[in-house]
Amino acid sequence: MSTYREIHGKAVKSLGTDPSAETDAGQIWYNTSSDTFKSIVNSATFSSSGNYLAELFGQGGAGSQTAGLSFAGAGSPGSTVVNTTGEYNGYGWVSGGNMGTARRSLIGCGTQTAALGSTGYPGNKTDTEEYDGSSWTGGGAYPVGQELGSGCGTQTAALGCGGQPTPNTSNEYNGSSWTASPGNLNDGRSFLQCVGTQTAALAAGARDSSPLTKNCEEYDGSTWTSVNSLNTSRDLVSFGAGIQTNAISYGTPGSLESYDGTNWTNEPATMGTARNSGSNAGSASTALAVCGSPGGATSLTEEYNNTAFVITGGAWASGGNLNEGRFGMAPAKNAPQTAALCASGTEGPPWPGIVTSVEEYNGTAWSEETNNTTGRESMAGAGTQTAALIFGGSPDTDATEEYDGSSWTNVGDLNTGRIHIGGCGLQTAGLCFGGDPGSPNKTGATEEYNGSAWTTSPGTLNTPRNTVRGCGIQTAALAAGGNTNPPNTSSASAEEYNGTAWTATGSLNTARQDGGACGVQTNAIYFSGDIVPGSGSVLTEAYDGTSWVSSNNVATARSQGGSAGSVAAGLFFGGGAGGNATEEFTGGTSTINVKTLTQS
Amino acid sequence: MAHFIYGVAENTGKGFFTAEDRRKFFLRGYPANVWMVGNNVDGAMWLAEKGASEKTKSEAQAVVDAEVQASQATWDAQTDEQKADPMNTRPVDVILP
Repeated sequence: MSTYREIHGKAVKSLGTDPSAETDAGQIWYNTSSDTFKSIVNSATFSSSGNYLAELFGQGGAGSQTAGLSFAGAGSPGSTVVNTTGEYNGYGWVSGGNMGTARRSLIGCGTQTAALGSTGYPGNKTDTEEYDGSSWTGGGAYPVGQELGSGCGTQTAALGCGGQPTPNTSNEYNGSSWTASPGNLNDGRSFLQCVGTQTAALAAGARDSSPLTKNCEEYDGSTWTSVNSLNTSRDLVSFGAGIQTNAISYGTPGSLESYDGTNWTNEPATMGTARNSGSNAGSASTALAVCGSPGGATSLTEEYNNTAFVITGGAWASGGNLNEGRFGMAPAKNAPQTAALCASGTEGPPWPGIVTSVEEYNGTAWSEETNNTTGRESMAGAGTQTAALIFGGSPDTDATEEYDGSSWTNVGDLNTGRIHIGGCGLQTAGLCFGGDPGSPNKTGATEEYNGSAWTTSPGTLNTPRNTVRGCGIQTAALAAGGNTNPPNTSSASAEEYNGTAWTATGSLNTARQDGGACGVQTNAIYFSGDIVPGSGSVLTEAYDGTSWVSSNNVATARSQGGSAGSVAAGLFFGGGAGGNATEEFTGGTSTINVKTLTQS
Repeated sequence: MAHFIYGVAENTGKGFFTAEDRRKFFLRGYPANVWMVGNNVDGAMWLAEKGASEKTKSEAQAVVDAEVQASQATWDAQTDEQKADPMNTRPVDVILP
């Protein structure tokens, strides 16, 4: 029998700890700690990522998995088409420039900073637009009015094929005008996938009338040639990515198969949510599936990775229910997910409906503890479960209390009593900002607590507001969202505090008030809240110290809920319309795929 | 085919829906313990496992409406002073997608 050294020219290494670099994939080593042979192997999986900015289907797509683009689309069958654009950075979505013409079921290709969109519904459009990373401008008209075709290539060398009402058409774009290709599709069809380049393309699947087809064709710049068919019929406008000799096809019923230039092979990866009619981007090893649904619209984003890393998307899951549902409570903002605190609040109407109870969370269940001294609502909190600080709120707007894990003590009052305020920090270094001080105008006033007394900071929020949420510590805090002075609209503004002054930073993509927030100044999430009072939102956005991108949404929309924890392990509890529900956020992870080798 | 399926099930807290569930299928909660999930095998299995009473969209909407209308009636019965608090907003209608 041949030995490993004879086959590979080197011996198996003995290692105390497992290698962790993707470049170690394929190597075999002996782990002296576990007394096992191990290897790093590639795995092909889908994982959820930050939700798209709206629930859509029928968008155009371009770019890569780390710099993707999705544009246009429609909310649900029969609804109004949109002209919006979303840019993806590998974690979530931010808004880009709007297209000139709203539409769905269009051709898309190119990159995030040099994309092309053409044709579309309604009205079998010929309109072409080019994106430069910030705005869309008009390009040359498509030769035939068309929708439900597909495209590939670049902004200056694109290929469009198939669609309705001319299913066998094939056309080429040179950066300014479209011309008919020398050859047409042999099997004219709509709803198809097309990947590759203008001179080396692959068209796969779909139909222009029942039943779905598995047929595939390759284009060499002049002629379309029939090649081996897909193994599985996929639903209308399924997803595709890659190049002619290394492509993937995925979508309803949720499976994925790969193409090596000759044959299609079924792969074990399965989409988290089987769907079609969304947009796609990326390559055969790193791809995106954006929005879409079996005939409907979602905001789901999934990444496909064929890599040595196992990637798991972030998600919200249900936690233990509060014993007493409420909103407007004070959370211990710097408490971890597994040791949180919820003090007082309201369950109105009828207003004010003050709840006086205090509850502690252990990661599984809430238990009732000693009530705080003054029941109130719309206040803020800081600290941890065993060293908490709560302050402000109605009706005792300047009251401050400390909690040591078993009893409450009244301490120094806020200098400016207020309600609907923001807070964060620790019991011995708390921070209070914004709110309603009782005058007609909301305030940006900021106060710092030192363990015994509040001192007014020289720094005030640049955008005075109430219902603002924050996280972090007294010398490195983040404030986001809220409701501004007249016209009293929700704010997207976010600001960073350095212990002295507030500085405006990147704004939320969706203005909101009374949401939840957790994390630290440069790594935070803001979630749920009201876009307009009472409306509720499930949106979650993640902040990296510079800008906000969409993340995975909460399950139940609510406002004025309590929040605590980190980006890796966040917590959201109670809230208006949320009742007593708790949700726990688990951040996404990426770990090297080490496998223990066995003889079986 | 319907895009979503609807059911009524009490949120029992921890483990009622998991992070893995959220990665497998679309899920959204509404008033009165109404849940909307993606119309796929995983979503349907989750509703079944939770002992949910499956509803048509119109039935689910009626359950939500009853809850919201009760909240609105409670809000309407407040005094003008209570209603004047800008944060005490009247519950808004919820329309299921």
